[in-house]
This record gives sequence, structure tokens and C-alpha cells, in this order.
Amino acid sequence: MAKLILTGSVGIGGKNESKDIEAVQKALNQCIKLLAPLPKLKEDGDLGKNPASSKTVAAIKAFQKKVVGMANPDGLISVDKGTHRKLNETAVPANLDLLTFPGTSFTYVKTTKTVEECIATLPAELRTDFKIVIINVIKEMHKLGFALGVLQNARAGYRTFQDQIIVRQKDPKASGAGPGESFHHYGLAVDLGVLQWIDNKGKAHSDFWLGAMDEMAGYKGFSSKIWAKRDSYCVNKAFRLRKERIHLQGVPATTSGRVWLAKCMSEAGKADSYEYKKGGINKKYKCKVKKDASWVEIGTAKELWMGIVKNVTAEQKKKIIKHFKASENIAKTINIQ
Amino acid sequence: MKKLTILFFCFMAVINVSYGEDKVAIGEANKKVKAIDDARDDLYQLEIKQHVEVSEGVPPSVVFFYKPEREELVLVEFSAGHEIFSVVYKYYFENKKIIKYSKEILNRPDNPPKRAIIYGSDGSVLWKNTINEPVISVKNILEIYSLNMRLIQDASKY
Ligand SMILES: [Zn+2]
Repeated sequence: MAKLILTGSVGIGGKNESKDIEAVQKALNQCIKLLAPLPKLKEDGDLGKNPASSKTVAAIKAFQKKVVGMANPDGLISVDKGTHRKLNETAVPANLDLLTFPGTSFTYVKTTKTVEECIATLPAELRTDFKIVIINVIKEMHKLGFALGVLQNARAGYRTFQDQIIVRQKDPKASGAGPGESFHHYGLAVDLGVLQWIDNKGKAHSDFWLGAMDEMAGYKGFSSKIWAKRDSYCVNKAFRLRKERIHLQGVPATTSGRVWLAKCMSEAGKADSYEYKKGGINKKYKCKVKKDASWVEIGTAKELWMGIVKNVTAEQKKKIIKHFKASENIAKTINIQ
Repeated sequence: MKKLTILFFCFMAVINVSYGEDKVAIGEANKKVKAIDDARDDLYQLEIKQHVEVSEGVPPSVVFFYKPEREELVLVEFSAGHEIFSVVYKYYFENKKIIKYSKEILNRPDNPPKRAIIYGSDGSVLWKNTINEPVISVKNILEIYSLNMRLIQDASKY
């Protein structure tokens, strides 16, 4: 709506200029749904002989209680104070269908994206069981009015080993996973962000990480509620990582992608086994080849990707690189308990 | 090109009028910040870093940069990697007073602008393009630095 401009206060003990009263009545009517079961107010610029018992003051009090969150509503709107500001944030043209986020006073409008559009962003490589959980998360969040999905062209869905290299080349500080070490290779991870949300003025935001929402005064603290809601639909079948907001994976957060890569390589190797020792800084893999029963350190995933293999013969090296490369396909279906 | 130059000068004039003395102070602050950035390689560092198995992102690490003499803290930088992008926070100090705070999000596809707050010598805000306060308060940053320095010193006593 146009900004609610007041020349003086309105309500109990207010200046109560007629045109200010009328402006307040109009603004309250624009968010009357939030004040149910109160009926729409007459926009007549009048509080009657006894303002305290007027329907307009009753609506101001209801607004203060339900939307502003005041424990003891005083029924007075002072210029540029809390109730006035909140009313400005909340009031929208009547043709907008306003929603309130469960358990909060945040208001917004339902996304214009369909649930099918959201689901269509999921990568084809996602494993069936994990996909079912993620689709359910998308559906539930869509019921609440938010379009969640996977950002295209941002490597937020399935990643090849090469993709992981590119991610790290673009920003070495961004990802700790080398090629083969991310659950995005396994069809078991998606970065599920917000494709679109619409604020209570009707403005649509493409705001995947909710960074824009975080900077809007009227929505302070709202993004964490949205993420928490998203996570509540994961029901111990999709897991978030402690320090990543948008990433969800089909295995618990402490599962090591590196142990999984070693398993994939062992699967490819058949007679040769690979292992990854947890902990340490260097993230190196070890290999036990058939002829030689002792473990040898062969290097990091990135080194293997570059064709560098340490402590082995030229013949063994060839085999190990082959096993590493074969892991990319094995990763798509392997099951590790 | 000519048009652009004229516009630019008009713009400068507007800034001059509206900021006045603050503009001088902001210029001073930026000079100090640049001097700290330039001296970065000569500064000593105290680093706090996690080594954990989690592989998708990069756990946050904190680096305190200080002058070798008197161990005066001049820059605190922490960064965290979020799979395809990273966030870098910086605090610049002089004599235990904050000069500048910045938050930069690198390589994120929606390319958010760099955020910064520049402070005056009395701690007041001279300029900012963000509504946010520093992610960790300046007071806490200074306390954490001195506690960690004390820890390091105590550990080397015996
Ligand atoms: Zn991810």
C-alpha cells in the first residue's frame, strides 16, 4: 500500500484527526485477515464519542497483540513508533492474499511458482529414497508459500568429479571436498534453497540463500525460521550440516565422503583395497595391492585426479588411476551402511 | 566520455556537501586500512582453525594479525567456505580501536555487494552500507584476542 502517513496519533488518548483515523482504518482493513475474527472496519474517519469502545480501537489493540506482539496493547498508534511502523510493513493492497508464518507474526504472499516447477529442479541423478524425502520437503514448504528447489548452473545438485574440481578452482576457500569426496557425486545431496518468496508488499524475491531477506528490516530473524521449518520436514532421512544452511544429504552429517570414495575405489579394484584414514590434515588415501600386503600412502583425491600416485610402481599407478576414475560411476549407485 | 566526467564531478560535489568533515575522516580511515593491507605479509599471525572430517564446506578459521612489536592487534580476518562460495569478515584496528569492519561474499552466483562499516576515532559510525552490526562484537573480538595471546604466552612459560 501507499505509506501510511499520520500527522498525529490515533487511538486511546490520541490526537485523533479525522483523516488520520481514516488512514488507519484503511491500513487495518488491508491486514484484517490477521485480526480474525474481527470484521472489516468502516472507513469513516470517526472513533465515536468514546474511542476506547470503538471498533477501530479494538482493531488497533488486536493488531498490537497479534502482529506487534505487545503483551498489554494500549490501543494507541503514535507517529513513527512501533505500531505505526509495523502497520506500514504489514498493510498490503487487499488483492494480495497474505499469509502468516506459523508461530510468528511474519507476513508474506504465496509464491507464484508451482510445486511441479520446484520439483523439476531436482537433478535426475538423485537416489530414489532420498528424492522422496526431498520432494516431500519441497511440497510441505510450498504449502507454506515458499518455492524451494535447486539453483540451476550453480552446481547445487549432482556434481561430476570435474565439477568438484571447478568449484575448488573458482574459490579454493569454498569447499573442503576433493573430487569424489562430496555427497553431491552420490546422488545423495542437494543444496535446497529458496527459488522464490514474495514479501507482504507483493514483491517477488529470487533469494536462494535468503541473504536479501536477512537485510530487510521487516523480516529480521525470519530466514532462520524458514530454514528450521525446512529441516523439520527432513525427519531424520535428510540431514543438514552444522555450518551449511542449504545443503541436505541422505547420510548423517558426520559421514565421511572420503571413506565412501575409498569404498568406491575398492569396489572398482576388486582384489586391491583402498582405505582412507579419518582425521589428520592431509586427507590422504592408502592402498593395499594384491602382491604387497602392506598399506601404502598414495596421495590425496586431487592428486589422483591429476594422475599423481605416490609410492607405487608404474604398473600399479595405472591401475589405481583406473580405479579412481571408475569410482565416479560406482558412486551413483553404491550403498554403504 | 565527456558527459561521464561531468556527471562524476557533479556527484563528487554532492558528496562533498553532504559529508564535509566526515569525508576527510573516512579518507583517513581508508588510508589506514590500506596501510594494514599492504603490511599484511610483515605482520605476525595467531590462527584458530578446526580440523574436522566434514568435507562439503570449509570450517571457519580465524586469523589475528598483529604487529611484532608490542603485539598490537591490527587485523582480524575470518572466513568460512560454503561449498561453492565463501564469506570473509575483516576487522581493522588501531590502538585497540576499530577502524573498519567488512563482510565480503565471494563467488556466490547472486553476487551480493561487499558490506562495510567505517568508524570514527570515537567509535561512532562514519559510513556504512549495511544495517548489520559486526557478526561478532568488537569488544568480544578484542577479548578473544587477548585471552588467546595470554594462553600462548602461558603455554610457553615452562
Ligand atoms: Zn551441498
